[in-house]
Amino acid sequence: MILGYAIVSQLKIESKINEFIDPKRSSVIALEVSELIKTNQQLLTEQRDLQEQKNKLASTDNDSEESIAKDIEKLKIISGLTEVVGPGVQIEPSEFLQTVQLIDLINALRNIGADAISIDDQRVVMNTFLDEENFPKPVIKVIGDSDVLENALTRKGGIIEQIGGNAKVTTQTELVLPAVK
Amino acid sequence: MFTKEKRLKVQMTIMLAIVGIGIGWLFAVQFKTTPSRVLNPVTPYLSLTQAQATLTRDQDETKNKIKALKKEIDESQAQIKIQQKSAKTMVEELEQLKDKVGLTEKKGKGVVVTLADSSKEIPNIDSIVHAADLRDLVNVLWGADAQAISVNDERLTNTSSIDSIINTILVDNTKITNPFVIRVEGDQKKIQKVLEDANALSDIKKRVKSEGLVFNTEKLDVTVNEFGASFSVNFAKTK
Repeated sequence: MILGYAIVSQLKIESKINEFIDPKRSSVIALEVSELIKTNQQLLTEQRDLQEQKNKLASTDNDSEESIAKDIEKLKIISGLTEVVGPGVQIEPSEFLQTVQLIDLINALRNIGADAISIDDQRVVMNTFLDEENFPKPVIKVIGDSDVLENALTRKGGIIEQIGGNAKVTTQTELVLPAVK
Repeated sequence: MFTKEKRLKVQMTIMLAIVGIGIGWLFAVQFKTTPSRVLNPVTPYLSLTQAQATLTRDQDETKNKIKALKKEIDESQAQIKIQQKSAKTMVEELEQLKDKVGLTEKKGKGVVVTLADSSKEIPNIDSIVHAADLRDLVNVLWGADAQAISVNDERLTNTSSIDSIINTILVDNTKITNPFVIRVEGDQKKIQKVLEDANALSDIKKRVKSEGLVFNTEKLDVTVNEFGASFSVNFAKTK
């Protein structure tokens, strides 16, 4: 009986230790922690910007109007209602992209922090339906941090590799993206 | 021939040998599981889980502060609209834009889609919901002219992404868990028709049949939350 108890205890301890030191489990949590750090930094920046905006609204008439005008400009860019200009990258896939590849690529570009995206000179906004038939050989333009975008797209294990495609990615100092039609 | 005494001796010897082997095995396992290095493998794991809990708490707190700030800003802008004639038109334009980009709650007719892991005891890659399933579903819903969409109450906007870390799904870097409830405001008939189209979401529908993945749709009056965070534009400028 004692021997049985000892064996069971030993197995329990072993499985508990294995659970703790399981590299898969630890690396999942490590990745989550890294994402949390990234998101929390973004949220703190947002909080600081909003605080600044609130202070401006509470100060002189000029300041409050300037703050509102700035907000309008930002939301026009976000909604795609206006033509925009800025640095970024141009992506030219060397072969046909299936719908799922397009969805994953645009999703990844948004995650990296793209300010504006267009496919074949059609602005991509919140409700753009991505379909391979609409974009048989797409040229994608992205306004954002060109170095970060290029690296995320082209590095080993990067987005292009993840979606199983091949593409020419070129950084641009100035891209012009049209407004939503 | 074995006498009774001899048989007993043999049995005792076998018993002792089994006990001996058992104890020997225990010692061996004990030595094997004891880390030979000074590092305690449990400590980094605990540090990670503690960091995860602290950062999650911090994130919730910052989100609440952002929510409160946004409310105060909305109130200030509403006051400015009344008090400053020159700013009235600007504030009205801003209100329309806020509505367009997802910064206001939406209520109306719509559809609620539930996508959930299969109840199978032993899950496999096809029996659980992946971020890619949600991305495909959302794309199809936009194609059906959806006006507003939220996934587990996280409002989707022009900057939204749905990603995963192994099996954890994130909407705009906020962790969401199974079951996944997608609230869609829009034309109920049109949305339902697209969702029922055999060619749409064929992979999900195949796994519903083969693995018991849950995919339900219901026409309802829906409330789609407003986007909880704010937007930042760092590189694009209006021309």
